[in-house]
Amino acid sequence: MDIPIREIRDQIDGLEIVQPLPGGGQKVVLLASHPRFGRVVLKLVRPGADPERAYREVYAVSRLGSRHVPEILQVGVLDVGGEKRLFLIEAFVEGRTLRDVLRERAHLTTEEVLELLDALLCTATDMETRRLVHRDIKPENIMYDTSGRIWLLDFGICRHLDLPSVTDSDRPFGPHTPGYAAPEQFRNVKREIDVRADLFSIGVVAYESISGRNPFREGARDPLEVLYRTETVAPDPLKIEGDSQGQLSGFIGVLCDRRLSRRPRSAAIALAWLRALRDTVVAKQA
Amino acid sequence: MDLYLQFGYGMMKLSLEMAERWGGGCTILSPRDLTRGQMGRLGPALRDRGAEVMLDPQFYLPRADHHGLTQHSYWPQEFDTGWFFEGPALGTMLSELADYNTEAQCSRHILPGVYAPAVDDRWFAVHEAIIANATNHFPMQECLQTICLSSESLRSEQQIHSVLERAEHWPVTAYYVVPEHPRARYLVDDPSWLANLLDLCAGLKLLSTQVVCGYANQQMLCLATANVDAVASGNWMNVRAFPPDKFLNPADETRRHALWYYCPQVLSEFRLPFLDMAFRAGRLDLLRADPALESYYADSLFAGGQPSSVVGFRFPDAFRHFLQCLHHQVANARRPSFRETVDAHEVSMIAGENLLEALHDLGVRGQDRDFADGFDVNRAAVGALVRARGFVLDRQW
Repeated sequence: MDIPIREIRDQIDGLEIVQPLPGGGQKVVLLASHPRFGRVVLKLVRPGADPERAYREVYAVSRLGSRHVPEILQVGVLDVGGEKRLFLIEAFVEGRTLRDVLRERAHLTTEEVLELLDALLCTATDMETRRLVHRDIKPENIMYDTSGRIWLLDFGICRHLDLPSVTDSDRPFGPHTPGYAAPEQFRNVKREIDVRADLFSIGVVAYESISGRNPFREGARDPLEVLYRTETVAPDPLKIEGDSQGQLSGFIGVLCDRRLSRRPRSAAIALAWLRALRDTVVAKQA
Repeated sequence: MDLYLQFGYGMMKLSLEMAERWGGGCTILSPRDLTRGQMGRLGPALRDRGAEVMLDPQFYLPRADHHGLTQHSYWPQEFDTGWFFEGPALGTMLSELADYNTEAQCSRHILPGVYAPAVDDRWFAVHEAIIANATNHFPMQECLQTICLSSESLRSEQQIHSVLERAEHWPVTAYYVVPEHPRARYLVDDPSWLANLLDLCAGLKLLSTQVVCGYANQQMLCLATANVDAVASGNWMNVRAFPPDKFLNPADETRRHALWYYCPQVLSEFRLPFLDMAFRAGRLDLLRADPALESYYADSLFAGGQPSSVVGFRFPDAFRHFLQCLHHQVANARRPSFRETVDAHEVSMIAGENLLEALHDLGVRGQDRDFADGFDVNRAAVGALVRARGFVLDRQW
């Protein structure tokens, strides 16, 4: 991995690289130690990568101010052999991803899923207010910190609905993760992409968290089949412990409906419905 | 849900009478069947009786050649799709239509819509041109945009959702949905078609708009489950189920019509010789409409004589009876909540199905207006709506 350790140390006061973290195609991601902020995440745009996406990420997160999104602490430009490379430093969340948890336990409890939905829909409501769509909500980007607080990470392909798209509109597919992205998102139908694309992903994450399986990915031969299923298959209704009236199951089904117009029209509405139905779910007796 | 009158051939007197009887209501005027002068007189007369008036431009087939339509000054004498919708001709048409609306004292305005053999970009472009242009001629908050879909379009869930996704961006607060029945059937036997119509209407309604479904018959009572605001129906079959060819010049207009009696409790209509079968069995009472529906127009059929020999029951009586019964049924179809509306629909299906079976046992059959197959079709379609939108409609009603 191309990590310009000397330039980082020289140009970002006192920052020490601790270890690489899983990154994306656009950025190198590193765990680092900062003299003022302690442990932080350094994201450095790769050579030749379009810095616009990183600017968008900074723009999105800095405007968001959500209690479930790590704060951006510093933004700057690193000179690596004459090449200018954008970097950003954000608060480090120590803990495990939802994917780690699901690998360990197969599925969450009903109460945990309610908490997860509440946190994700709160964040989606914040994003909706600021005209942002995350577009990559999946277990790998959801984190439980050591106190159990839920965080949403990686706004790298976030879309701002009032800004021109970074993605070429003629491309047959928009940026997405198969099995979590809504049909209108991977079909790159920009006019139709709004917070409901995130609601779809949240629905799939909730479905998987309860059942232990992704309804579109399980058993699929390849990513194309996953996309085909996403467009054509309605996930089986969930049987959820304590959901005596089927309200939570119905709610998750509505979130991950392949038809845009059948999902809640806004994250705020979805959050209100979730909170209203919580009383219908009987908590498991200790 | 309200019943509007879909004006059909020979409905002048009927519409005035029903407006007076109902203390209002709404009549959708038909330029195909009325001259400009007639509409200018009928509209105010309906308003005087407390009724609301709308005018359906019937621009479903822009190349339609029915003399009733081409006589009107708003109807384009020449039509070329690109030229018409991109040039000034559309504005001229809407301006003329606005004058027609004013003369007929329309309180709300139906904007033209073109029949969609398939919902595609061209169809959207046409409607977006109409909407954009209409803002110059009509107060948009008083307008209904026509959505006229072919039976094939309505069979496609994808096309229905294309309409819904596009409609989200239209500055329209009400829709006038005109659906073509599959295979030109009066009673629809395709549950998927009906499920899509329910899905479309519910989706439009959830956009915080008003939805009126035109050219409806008793089967469309199920639209109450989609929270539709009104359905429109009329006298002849061609205003109870949308036939696009009605707007083309007929080669021969002479046609024999049979007299039908509407039995509201089984949602079926019967020719009088079949009522005779119930009479022979001494069970004619099974067919009599509930007095709560307040229709006395068919009383002569139940006065003791053989129904087919009764001379006092004629076409106007059959139409009045149908509309009066349907008026009550429509008013009772939509309930305070989605679940109550679905339950009420199911109760009517069960009761109707049981009674119709008993009538069949007596040899009373409605032929192509018999609702025997309709019960399952309606149940299947409403069931699909419950699964697809039940959660949301429970909360947004």
